[in-house]
Amino acid sequence: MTGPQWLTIYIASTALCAILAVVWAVPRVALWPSLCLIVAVFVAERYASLLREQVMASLTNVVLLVAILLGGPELAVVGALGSVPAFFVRRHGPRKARNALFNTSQFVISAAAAGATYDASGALLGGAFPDGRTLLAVALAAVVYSLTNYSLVAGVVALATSDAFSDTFRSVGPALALQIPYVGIAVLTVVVVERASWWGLLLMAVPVLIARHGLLAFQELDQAYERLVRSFVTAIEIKDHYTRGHSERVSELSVLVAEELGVGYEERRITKYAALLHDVGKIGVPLCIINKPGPLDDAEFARMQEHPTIGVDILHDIDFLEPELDIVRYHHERIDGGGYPHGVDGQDLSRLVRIVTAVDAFDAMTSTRSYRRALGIDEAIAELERCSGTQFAPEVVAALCRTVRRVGWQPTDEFVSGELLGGGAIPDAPREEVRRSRGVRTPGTGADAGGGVVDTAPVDGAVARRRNGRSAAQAGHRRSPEQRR
Amino acid sequence: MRGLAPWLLRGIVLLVAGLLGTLWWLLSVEDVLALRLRLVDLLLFLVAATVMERLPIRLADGRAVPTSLAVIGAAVLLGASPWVVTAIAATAYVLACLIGGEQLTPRLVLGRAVGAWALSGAAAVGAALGPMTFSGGVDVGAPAALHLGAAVAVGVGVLVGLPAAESLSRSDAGVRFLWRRVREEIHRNRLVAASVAATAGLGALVHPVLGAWTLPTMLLPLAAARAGLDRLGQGQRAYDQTIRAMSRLPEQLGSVPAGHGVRVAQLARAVAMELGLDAATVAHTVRAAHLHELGRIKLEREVPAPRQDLAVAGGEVLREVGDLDEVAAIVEAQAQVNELPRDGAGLPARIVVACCELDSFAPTSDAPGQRDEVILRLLRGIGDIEVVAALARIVDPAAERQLA
Repeated sequence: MTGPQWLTIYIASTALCAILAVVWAVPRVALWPSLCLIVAVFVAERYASLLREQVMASLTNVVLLVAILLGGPELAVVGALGSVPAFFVRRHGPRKARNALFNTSQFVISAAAAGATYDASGALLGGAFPDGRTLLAVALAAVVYSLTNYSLVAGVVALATSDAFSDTFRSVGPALALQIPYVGIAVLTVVVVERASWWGLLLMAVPVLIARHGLLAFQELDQAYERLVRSFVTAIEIKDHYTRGHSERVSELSVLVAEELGVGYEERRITKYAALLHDVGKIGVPLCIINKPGPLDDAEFARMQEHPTIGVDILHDIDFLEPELDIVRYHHERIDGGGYPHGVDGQDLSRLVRIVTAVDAFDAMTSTRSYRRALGIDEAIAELERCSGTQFAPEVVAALCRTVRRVGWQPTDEFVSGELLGGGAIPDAPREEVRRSRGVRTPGTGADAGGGVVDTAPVDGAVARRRNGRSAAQAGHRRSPEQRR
Repeated sequence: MRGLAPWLLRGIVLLVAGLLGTLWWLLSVEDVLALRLRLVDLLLFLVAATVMERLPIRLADGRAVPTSLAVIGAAVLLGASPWVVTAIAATAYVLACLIGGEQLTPRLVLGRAVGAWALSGAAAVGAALGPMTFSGGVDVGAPAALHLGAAVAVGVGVLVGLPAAESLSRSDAGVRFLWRRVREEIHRNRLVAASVAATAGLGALVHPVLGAWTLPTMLLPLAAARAGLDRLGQGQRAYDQTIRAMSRLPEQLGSVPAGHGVRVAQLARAVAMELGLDAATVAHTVRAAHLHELGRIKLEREVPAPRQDLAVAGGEVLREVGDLDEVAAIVEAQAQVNELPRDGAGLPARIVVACCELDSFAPTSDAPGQRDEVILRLLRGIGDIEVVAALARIVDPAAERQLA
């Protein structure tokens, strides 16, 4: 049997269980409480907010816990049906009927399991609401609820994609920790509803709505922030035609590689911005050096090497970038300590620095410069692998290769216009010149890490050689736009 | 007069708060707000207040608003006397500072104490005026209860009274634009204050039922609000700090002295405040001041550029961002600074140009002659005597008399 067939069977059996639970519950509940609960679940699902990519924050499980406490499992099972209409009006996420069916079914089954747990543990432990023993029973019910919920969803994800069940289930730990506040809020709601009045819920709603407002406003702000940083980067790159778009590509690919290596969301977010800004210090390098058509002399190369430090000077007082400012500071350092400008060795380079360093070099190789066409993906990866362990961190190179293959990353070779080329053709990477030009320093971007040490470290291999080759190519072919005019 | 006014204001705030607290006894509300807390409860409230002192909400301007007020408000509504809540509030702050190894600020100790004292007085007024205690009519267990009048009074105190008192006692600019400053402070605090007030009411409501479990549960919705607002504040700070960082881009090109953008922005903020502009315009002016040279990154490097070209190029870069149109308008308006009317981008642009000229040609007060010369040239050049006078007052309070 094939994957899709298993998926259909899985969803059908989940739905069957859910229908049995609903058939059992419907005769046991009163009309008005059920309708209230259905509306409450609908509202909770409708206003679920995207906490961040693919993580929805919703109060549905709080509503279902309250239903269990107020009216037993049967009320919760019926209330879970409120997620059906919510699914069709929600702005985020897919809308297929099959998804609605599965989603509602898993809510119903989770509610039934949690309700049964609460009843059983309540009978076992005794106690009267709201003492410690009933609170324990509520906590147990919440844990069972989210375990059931997560296993069912992880199952469907594992069947629908090729991911292993355990991979999908991995995120259940943090989600269980989130149950603690949910239990508290559920208990609070029950106390207010049972012992005071419905209007008391308004007091609870105020902070919760403000929290939602804050998170939504933050998401908008984060997008505005991204536009801000991108505009500045674009404005800086405007002078250097050959690296246009470089920072954005490095940022995008670095985040993907970080994801591949299991870096957390918050660190990925900082990496996105730090990688966008990694070359911002180039603004302090005179344009005549950046665009110089040929090898740099010692003084010019020294100026070029200052750009990470200048970048740090510019960005140093942005508080939230501060933990990852090393990405800007060290993005031309090498694992073996032969990089610039500080020459620190591998143990001082954090995982994120290693990622951006490797991606920076990779993008420099796979984008077209005026003096050669972009290298193919396979060629660039081969070069990275040859320098793995000396210039780049092996685990990062491996993750980069996997990522590039997975997303089908393409070399960038379309942006250099005919006008810029002055009618000339871009030559392919000139292998012969590569060999002849060892030890010459270049003003390149990206992979020019450790250009100054190539002479003394011939083992450094192809990237350094290729880079120097590029400078030879520059000497022969590269014309700055100013000269052409 | 200017030196005296702030102290006068602080004195008035202290006096009003002190009198408000004594109303608790004068109105004899002890039986309405009957103390429903035992000693062990009070200790728990102290612990909770200390914990919340460590978890303030940071606003966009970096100021931390304490959330311990929610615990204090609940204690007030549960009938604790002004002495008790004042002791809890001040002790919690001191303990939190000791635990966190932070510097104790006497002003803040006093602020916490006076705030708690005044809040219990406000609750007494509400209890005397307002409707009777609400109590849930239930068959089983203890009913939840809350005095509605006192709750409303505490809400008003948290939302309006305390921010107003805070902004009055913080004012070092004297009595000018007092009403606007108070209003802006209340507006800035409103979301945090609403969460805190609702939490205080909720805690008082459920305490008869939940007892010792009240504090950990009632603070959960507030913790959620803190998570959301704190994140928002962090994002807003990152935005402003990034703009400040970008003010260093033109400085790296060589033709602008280091730190020029940041200094001009500081001056521009002071001038805009001195002129009494509203908070949003001040923010736009400061951003424009940071970025007023940004056009250089688009022009040919290492070539002196006329102000017109700079303004237009800077505006172009900023328009691309999409969210900074007001700032872009101010930067562009530098090109025709004399012609624009006061409303819109004209006034902010004149502020930015004046501050830029001053920082470029007379950055220190070592040479007063140089400074006077720049001021006189500005009077002729931008023709807005109010802006130039405000700038002169800020760089040299004595210069105001000369101009007059």
